[in-house]
Amino acid sequence: MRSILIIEDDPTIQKALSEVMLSEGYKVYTSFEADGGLEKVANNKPDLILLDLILPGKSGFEFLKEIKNSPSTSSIPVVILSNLGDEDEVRQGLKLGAVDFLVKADYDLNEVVKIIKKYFPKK
Amino acid sequence: MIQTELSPKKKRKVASLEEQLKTDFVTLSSHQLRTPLSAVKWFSEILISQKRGKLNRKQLDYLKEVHRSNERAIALVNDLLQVSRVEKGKLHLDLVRLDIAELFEEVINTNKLTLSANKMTYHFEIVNGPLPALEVDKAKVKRVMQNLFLNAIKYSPNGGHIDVVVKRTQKEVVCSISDSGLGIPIDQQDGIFQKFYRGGNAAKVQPDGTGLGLFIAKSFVEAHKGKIWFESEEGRGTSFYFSLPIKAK
Repeated sequence: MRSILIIEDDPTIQKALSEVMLSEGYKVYTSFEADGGLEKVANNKPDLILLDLILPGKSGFEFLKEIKNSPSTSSIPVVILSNLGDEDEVRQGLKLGAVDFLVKADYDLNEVVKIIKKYFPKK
Repeated sequence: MIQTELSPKKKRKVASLEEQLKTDFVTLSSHQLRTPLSAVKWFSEILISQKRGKLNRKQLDYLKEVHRSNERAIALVNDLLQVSRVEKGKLHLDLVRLDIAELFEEVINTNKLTLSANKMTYHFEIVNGPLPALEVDKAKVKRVMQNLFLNAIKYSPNGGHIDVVVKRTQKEVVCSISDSGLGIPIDQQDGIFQKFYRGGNAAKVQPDGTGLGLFIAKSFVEAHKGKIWFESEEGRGTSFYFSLPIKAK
């Protein structure tokens, strides 16, 4: 069973994402902030990470840098799912190693599910 | 000044993030607005899917209204963000060389169902071809085309015909979209490209429009050093034109 880690500080958004991913048959881990997310990555090695950018404590960009700088986690695909979406932010996210950058308000949940499917590592 | 209800800790965090992410207050406010809008969007989609339980007809209809209105709010926030970027001179062009006629055909294809539902026909023509590849921001030029094409459909409530012409001149490519619809009354033509301007006909055919589409279209065209203009006669239809310069390779 494939697993997803959702790092999202808004409880309602996190709940909606978890619900849908669970109903798609994924194992779901969640964290409201980056350091908790790093812990979940270390303990569970998720197959994909959905990452918000504005988080309490460390930002999503800082989380992304740490994940990508560590050999044991650098290959985990990270999809940024944020309501920021300035061209600078998108460029920065992709430069730091995210595989995609989706603005939450612009995508149906079905579209998010469809898009992330292509980023799971081939088993 | 917009007051946001943030805790002191979060305010400090937002302020330092603003520095870190080089965003401005409007961008962060848009983020704050988009978050609850995303929540409404997604939970209404979950309910509308009826995978969590069957709804009766009225409940489904009302939820679809909630979803539709929410989508309009999201579109408005997105448009306001664009307007803010334009006004702060932060409009960035991601330039690629492409075939403008192909881009227009893409836009027309996307709208074929809408054309058919509105009982409309169209004709697409290239004049003085072949067209050179133009250096443009694909998403922004596509947005201009989409906006003008959809307006041509919307302002033809009784069906009709749309002519799309892409014409090469010596120094530029000029695109025109002409409809045979309501036209714009002469006393309402001056404000067409202003922010939030909506003429009398706009309220009739598109009561939920934001009044920002043409302002954004003009900003996008002018960012490419192009021009946008129109000709219209009430009761006979409107032609919108925009030009994009041909740059030497």
